Amino acid sequence: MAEHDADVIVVGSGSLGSLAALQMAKAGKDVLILEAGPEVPDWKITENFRTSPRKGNLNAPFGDIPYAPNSYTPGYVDFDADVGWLPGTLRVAGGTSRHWTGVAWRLLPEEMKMKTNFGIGRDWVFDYDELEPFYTEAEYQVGVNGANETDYSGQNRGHPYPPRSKPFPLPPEAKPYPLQRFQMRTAARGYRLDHAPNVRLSQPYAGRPACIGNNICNPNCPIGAKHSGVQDLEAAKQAGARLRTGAVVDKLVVDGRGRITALSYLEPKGNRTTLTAKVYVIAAHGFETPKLLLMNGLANSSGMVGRNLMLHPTLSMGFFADEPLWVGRGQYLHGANLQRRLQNDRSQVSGGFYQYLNHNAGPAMAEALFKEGALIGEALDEELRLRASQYLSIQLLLEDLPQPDNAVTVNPSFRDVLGQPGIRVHYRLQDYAKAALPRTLDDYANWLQAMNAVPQEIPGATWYNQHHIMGTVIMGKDPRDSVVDGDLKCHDHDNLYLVTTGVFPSVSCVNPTLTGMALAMRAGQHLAKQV
Amino acid sequence: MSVRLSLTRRRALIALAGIAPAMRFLSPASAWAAGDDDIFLRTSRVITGTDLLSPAISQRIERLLAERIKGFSSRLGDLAGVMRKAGGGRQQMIGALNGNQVSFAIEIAKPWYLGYVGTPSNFMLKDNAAFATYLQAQSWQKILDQVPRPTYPDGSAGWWVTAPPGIAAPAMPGEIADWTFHPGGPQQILAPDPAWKSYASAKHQSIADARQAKPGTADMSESK
Repeated sequence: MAEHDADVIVVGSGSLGSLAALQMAKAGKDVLILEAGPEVPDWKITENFRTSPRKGNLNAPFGDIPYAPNSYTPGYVDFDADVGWLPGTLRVAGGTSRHWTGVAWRLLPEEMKMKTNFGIGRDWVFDYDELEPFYTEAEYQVGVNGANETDYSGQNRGHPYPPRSKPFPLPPEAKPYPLQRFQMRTAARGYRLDHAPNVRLSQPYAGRPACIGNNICNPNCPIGAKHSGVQDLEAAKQAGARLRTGAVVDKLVVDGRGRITALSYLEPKGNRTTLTAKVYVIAAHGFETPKLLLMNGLANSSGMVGRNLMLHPTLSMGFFADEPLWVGRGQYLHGANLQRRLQNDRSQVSGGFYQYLNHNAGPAMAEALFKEGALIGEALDEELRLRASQYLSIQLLLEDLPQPDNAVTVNPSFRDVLGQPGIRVHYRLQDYAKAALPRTLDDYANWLQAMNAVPQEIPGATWYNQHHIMGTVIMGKDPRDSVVDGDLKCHDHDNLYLVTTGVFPSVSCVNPTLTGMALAMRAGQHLAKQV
Repeated sequence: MSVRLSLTRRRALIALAGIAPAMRFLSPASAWAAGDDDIFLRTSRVITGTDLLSPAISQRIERLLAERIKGFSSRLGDLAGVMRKAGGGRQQMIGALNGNQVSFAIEIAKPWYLGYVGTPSNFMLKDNAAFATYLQAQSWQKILDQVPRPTYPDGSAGWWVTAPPGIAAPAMPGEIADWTFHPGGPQQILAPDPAWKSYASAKHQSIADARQAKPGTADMSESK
């Protein structure tokens, strides 16, 4: 009779949990993945999107699951923030990356040492060279398109950066016409256009087809050209990992030495099951991971569990060019401007990068015209076509710094059908990000001039954020001010690991998922040797 | 930038003459056909400018609107009566509407164009929105010649690199499709021109006002 129910139990079947499980399963370990929510196939998500009235709602196609509420379940998250967007997190098999846009950046070496290089924020416990092999493994595992020649620091130093041990597995996808025109005209004002590495396949890869421009990257790719956690979960299962869905983990048992001795979960009808393992991995993303720890009073001798929430503040802007561009042909996002990422004043002003949205503009233009309430008939149709043809929308993603008051806590005012509490989020925008607004307005003015454009949305009227959740179980060397060490092991519990973007001590301005994947693969390989 | 224009200005905008060349692909709204009792479908055809509306979806939208708009049936009858009396084509029928009738016509237009009624939430799984249509939503349909409706487009990988159909693309270097290509220009980002900096920061009341205020645009007084 086995001593434990599994060698390793992984709580959370998202991309990071599944990639960690994959490493351990490949090494012959017995891995059990517990997922709170159900399995939902991609075809169903696409159909739900098509028949939904709320097409801008990333979580809507995945449904509201009474026993596994997500961040958009009414009342579940009490969002006290001065930025506009509550991050959309999911509790379904495959996790939140089911609806990610698929942008796959690496951190720069400098960005992993913010304290050392710029005197602000925190340093990672290890440096870029340590993580680089796992970045490469992750890129080949999920299939990342990229331009090998590019200096992704935005400094145009004439050589590729950051350093890579292998080229990108796939070449960039096609550059859409609107960006060709934008690039040609804004170069005269000193702007460069670069490729944004992503997981929307430019060619068939690992049994998945190339992207054909379905243009619903959020909430999902109908044909599997965009990577999502579903593929990582399938890979883990193929390697021998077991999956249980409808398993809402709420209790972890700890002995007098701080070792986790068991966990238990509730099924949708309320039945409770208790399991044991040698090692426990919590990979429940940046909201649910600290929530579970706080509910059980675990891993928090530092007082940092749930704190240092970072969301990537965002400025949104748009304009109508003087020529037809016709966005919406291709993927949701293409390209980037990186010239604001690593400027000399990084210690005072947040690094940032611009990304170019490529959504079909018809609905947004129609909504605006109906809100104006002036046009109907042919005049409406003409103006709709004119605006949709000329529109370009751009976002600037900015860096956050770890600030303990920006935090995730348990919200006892909400109880789901299993009696589980909700989440409370407190977040305030930092001056570090606000300091980027003046030169953002300069860039916007330059682009209006270059495109002879009419403003549609001026940056800064409202501050937004990304659906990125980082910092809430922060990594560090010192147990007095961090939750996990460099191996993602909790300082307080020898057999409890946290595999989530919540461990990031610094976040740059770039999307976090590829870095999370690299961490997950590194942690999984480490655990495979430990268990 | 939302705007409520004067009734006079609104009527002027409605009565724009002619159909733009790019609109020729649309099926022309037929004149009010005798013997057709489905007045919601008939008014919807006029409002959307297409005869190709599904009767089933029309019934769905009519039901959704009737549930949400007080006096819907009588207002619909009033609207249809004005259109029938005006006769002629789409332009003439819409041009005959008064302010209240235009407002009601816009309420009918919304689900046909947007595909939903109500106000959908982007951040909550509860709101008052209801699904109306996807395949017949006119906000996609009206630009379908240039941009495919999301999901299952024609074309293979990378089709979007070419200029949209019918666009006379300005000349660009052959390498423009290469992501590592740079057209040249200043090595550093320039300071913005003061006139454009001012324009970029100004709070324009409407898109039309912003168009008028663009640097280099001759000042054209708004005609009454």
